[in-house]
Amino acid sequence: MNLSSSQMEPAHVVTVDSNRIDAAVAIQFKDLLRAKMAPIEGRHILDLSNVEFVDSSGLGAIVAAMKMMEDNQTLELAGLNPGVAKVFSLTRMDTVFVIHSTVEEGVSARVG
Amino acid sequence: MRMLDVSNGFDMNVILLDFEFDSDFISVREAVISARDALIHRQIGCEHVTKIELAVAEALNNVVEHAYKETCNGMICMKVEQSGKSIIVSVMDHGLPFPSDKLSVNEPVHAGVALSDIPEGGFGWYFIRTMAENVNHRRSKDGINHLQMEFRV
Repeated sequence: MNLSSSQMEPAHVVTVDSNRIDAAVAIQFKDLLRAKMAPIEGRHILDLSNVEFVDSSGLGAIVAAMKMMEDNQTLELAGLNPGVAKVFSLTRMDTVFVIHSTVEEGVSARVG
Repeated sequence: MRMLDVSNGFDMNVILLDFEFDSDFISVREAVISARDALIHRQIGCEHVTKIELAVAEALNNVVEHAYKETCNGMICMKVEQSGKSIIVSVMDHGLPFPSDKLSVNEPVHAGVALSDIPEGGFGWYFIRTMAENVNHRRSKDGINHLQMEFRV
């Protein structure tokens, strides 16, 4: 499980470099994501464009990361592939997270 | 020359996958990918493959977590068959029985829910029941849990 990150003003973009967020890596993913996000306040965008599969463990890890944020941070998602989008829509987590079709769209969006 | 019907007199059952693996999350991942690849090879449509892949992953995760309590101390058997317009996935383990009370199932969240109230888990059975047309489970007298999921494809 690998994450990389870059600053794309005004957002901090964290890219998942692996193609599955499942039970095998969910805890590791959650810890890595928290570590990437913790030092930086403001908007974070999680780039899931490389991810083809997320199960309930992976979903839970993403939710957990959001719940652990400070008040001066937000987490949005971008680049959900169809199978992953389905997991979010089935659980109606797409009403809880702001989801962009691409990172670029997310970076330029006004999120109020 | 006519093909012999050997099962239910109408469609033949074709076994796509039938194997045994260790009950840990890494082995589960490999098993899920094997099931997915077998379905793709069989030219099952990708939307169906996606839904089966998710349900299978959830079912196998449940075995690791609940039947074997993550002790990595047992085997899981999985069979994937095609029967006419259905894919049937059978999962067997010799771990703890299904709980007799209602299985913990988290339903979808609703808009406006407080952040602290959003569940981080428990969606597994909900996914299985949503993706599969039929789900049944039983425990045989010799202490084997049998889960069967049927998917229309």
